[in-house]
Amino acid sequence: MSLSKHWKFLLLTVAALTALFAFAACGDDDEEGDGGESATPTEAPAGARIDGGTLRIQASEPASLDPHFSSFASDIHLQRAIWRGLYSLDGQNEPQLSMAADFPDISEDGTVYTITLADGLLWSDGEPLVAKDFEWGIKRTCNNLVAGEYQYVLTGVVGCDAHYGAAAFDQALEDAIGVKAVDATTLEITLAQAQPTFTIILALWMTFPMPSHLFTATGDAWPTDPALLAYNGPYSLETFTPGQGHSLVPNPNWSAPQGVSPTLDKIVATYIDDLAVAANAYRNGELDFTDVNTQELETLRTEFPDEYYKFLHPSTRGLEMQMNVEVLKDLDVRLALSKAIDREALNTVVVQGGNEPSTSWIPEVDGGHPPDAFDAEIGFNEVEAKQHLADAGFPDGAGFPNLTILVGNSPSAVATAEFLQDAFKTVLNIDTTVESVDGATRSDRFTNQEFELFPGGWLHDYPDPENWVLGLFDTGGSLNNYNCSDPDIDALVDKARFNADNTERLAQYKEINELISTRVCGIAPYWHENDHWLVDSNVVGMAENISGNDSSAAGDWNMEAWGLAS
Amino acid sequence: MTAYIIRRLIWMVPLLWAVVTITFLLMHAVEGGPFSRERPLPEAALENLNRKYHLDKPVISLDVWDSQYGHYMWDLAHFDLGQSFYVQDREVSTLIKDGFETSLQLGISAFIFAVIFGLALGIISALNHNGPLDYVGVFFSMVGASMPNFILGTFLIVIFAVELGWFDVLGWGGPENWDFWNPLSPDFWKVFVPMNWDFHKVVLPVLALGVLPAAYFARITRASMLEVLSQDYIRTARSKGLSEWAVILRHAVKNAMVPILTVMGPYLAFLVTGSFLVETVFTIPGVGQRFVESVFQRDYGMIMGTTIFYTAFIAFANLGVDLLYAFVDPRIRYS
Repeated sequence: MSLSKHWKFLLLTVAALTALFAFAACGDDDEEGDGGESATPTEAPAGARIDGGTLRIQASEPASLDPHFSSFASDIHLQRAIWRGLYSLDGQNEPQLSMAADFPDISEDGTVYTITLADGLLWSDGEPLVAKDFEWGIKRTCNNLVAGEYQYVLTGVVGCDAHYGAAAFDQALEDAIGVKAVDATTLEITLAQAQPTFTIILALWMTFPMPSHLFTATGDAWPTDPALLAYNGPYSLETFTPGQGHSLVPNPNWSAPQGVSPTLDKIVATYIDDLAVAANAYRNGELDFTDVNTQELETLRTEFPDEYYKFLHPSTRGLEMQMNVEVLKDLDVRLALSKAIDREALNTVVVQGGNEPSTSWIPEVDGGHPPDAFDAEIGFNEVEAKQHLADAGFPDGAGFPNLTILVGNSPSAVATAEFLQDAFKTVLNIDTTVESVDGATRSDRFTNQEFELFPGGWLHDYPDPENWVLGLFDTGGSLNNYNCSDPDIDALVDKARFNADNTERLAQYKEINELISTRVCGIAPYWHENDHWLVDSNVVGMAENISGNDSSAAGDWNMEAWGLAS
Repeated sequence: MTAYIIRRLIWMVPLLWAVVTITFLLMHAVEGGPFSRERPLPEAALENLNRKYHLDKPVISLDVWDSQYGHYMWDLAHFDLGQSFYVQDREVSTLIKDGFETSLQLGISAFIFAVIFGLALGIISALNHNGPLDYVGVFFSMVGASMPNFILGTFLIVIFAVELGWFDVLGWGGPENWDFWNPLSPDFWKVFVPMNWDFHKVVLPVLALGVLPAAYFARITRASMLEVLSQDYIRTARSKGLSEWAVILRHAVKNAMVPILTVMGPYLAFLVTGSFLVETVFTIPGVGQRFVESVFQRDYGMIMGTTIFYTAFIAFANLGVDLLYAFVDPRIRYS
């Protein structure tokens, strides 16, 4: 760039900023995007892989290194790189062998799992990886002193709930947990009832092994110094600097169960929450990978047409409705609200076309229906929306109470709420109030069921339809804060929960999904979310699996495949 | 003087107690808690977490030692700031120390830039009163004082990093593991070695943070210098035949410094403690970023720890300025 060009650029930038300030001063905050869909390849870039190199990625700061405590995607992203469980999920979400030598030997009644470990497993520090390490890992998640946030996933393991729910630590309760190392390479897990999804759970972070040779008890504090830990994943944690980032180097003792070992010398992650900053760092060549802010989507898609990737995020968002509120008990009212939402327009206006409009609660890849499956029943239809409201006793909105839409304070959350408010006024002639609060307040009110309308949703923990239903839509479920209570759903949940016939079980969950969606039982789904990423053209192997799997970087469930091309 | 310093130090105790108590009560009065999640935690998990962090006890009660407040004050009396509720298994004191090392480097660098640039501009403006250089100085002061530092930071990044490629966008380039508490340690002195600084990462954040105080210092220096230059003793100094440089440096600048020093102390504290936005724009792992995040995360441990730390820091900075007055203006004496 010549000097004159520099000055020209400077002047243009000054002019642009001046114009920006002028518009801001006029109070014009209309942020409509055109929602155009650019070409978005879903395959990772390919090229001639080289041995070595450093991959620089944007990440969010993990709140904990402890896999038996963690709940945030940023934690799990890192933990998947440095620890692995007995099994691992492949690109199609099918369990594959990881630390186990074979798939579990399951007793006839489906409650006892016997698992043999692969031969010659070692921790990164050279110590043998034994069945006791897995026993301790599961017991640590059940330990009330650790207070792990994902203990509920292991509720099927005998004694886990009793130990976790005790007011104080009790060694007898820990000893009674249904997991034991029979010998150095054999692990036996006992469930209270058959659980067809349990092999998938043995691929998740809360069942990762604990390097028992470094601890004296399952409840010991988890070190934050990488040098005090040992790893059995493809990478070892080299450095961890809170607030700044971490670096990973290949684990010399990685067992490579699927035959894939890291080719990179190092992965350097920088913690950047402001994605506008990350985008600038990407432009400046300081990052090879970054997540993309949906508010910059169109700009970045245009700027980097060959480096922009879109993958499914295993999340559904919708308008949640408090069914204890008298007026929302009426199905006609819920249908009226749902049919007043133009999901395509919402997607275009708020996230520049970045998500997948949907009327189905469970995504198809997790055993639900296609996104447009229930368009006829609950999708946008102005005439039917008005009719439902009239049928409920509020013709043209007359006499309808003013409901409050409780929303967080991020720009996209506020834009969503304002879009809904406008839709309800335009289509149904009813007034609503938007209340914007900070994240913690919003969550607190949701937990305490102090809301009427609430844009919210769910992100799956594991790729199975039960994770979209259990506790969420059964009467009295611990996460059922909108108080969905439907005898048909409850009856089907009872049948499906411990159904050992997998085909039948999946069909039952599909039926439940239809009931949740078409009866707007606590939520009117409006979209499935997508992840948007920029990946430099010299990066290979960042292939995401079909459902995203709670990831915060492309293909981070299989990080050993990441590499650089010449 | 010693008695004065001791008295001021003793007064800091009730000051800190009041700040701790008010912050503690306000913090708990706000809706939401450290474990409020978009996906609510199961009840058993919440109970265990509350027990682990003593949140199962009342915030304050008649039996004060069996309350959260009592627990916190007891720990504080033992110089224990507790654990972060968000960054698990990390001591608040460690997080503050690590972050403050960076914030201090950034704040002091910006302060040095602001003092040198602001004083020079103010003096030049005053000496060229109503001349072209004065107008340039006034223009800079106006622009610098009215542009928020996060806007300026973004502006600098787009021009000098993304377009020109002269500087980096991410991170801080000061020496790591700076042992700023211990002048006897060799690690204390590493900040004085230019080779230890990566200027590709230092220049833009320092400019973004330092321009506003530089503009403010320039305005105050100009006004103060204009007032001093019209004093009789300046005319006397000139009539005695002193060179213009001697008049300006020895008589004008020194006497113009008192009002400037008044704002320098609080500004130094502001630059060290108020760099949150610049830290965010440049992804600098300072304590300011942690402090603001802790409020949104309801990280009670970090909120209390950083508040106490900032209060103490500002109190010491103000004490330092008061002592400097006496050095600059011999008429000021403390007893």
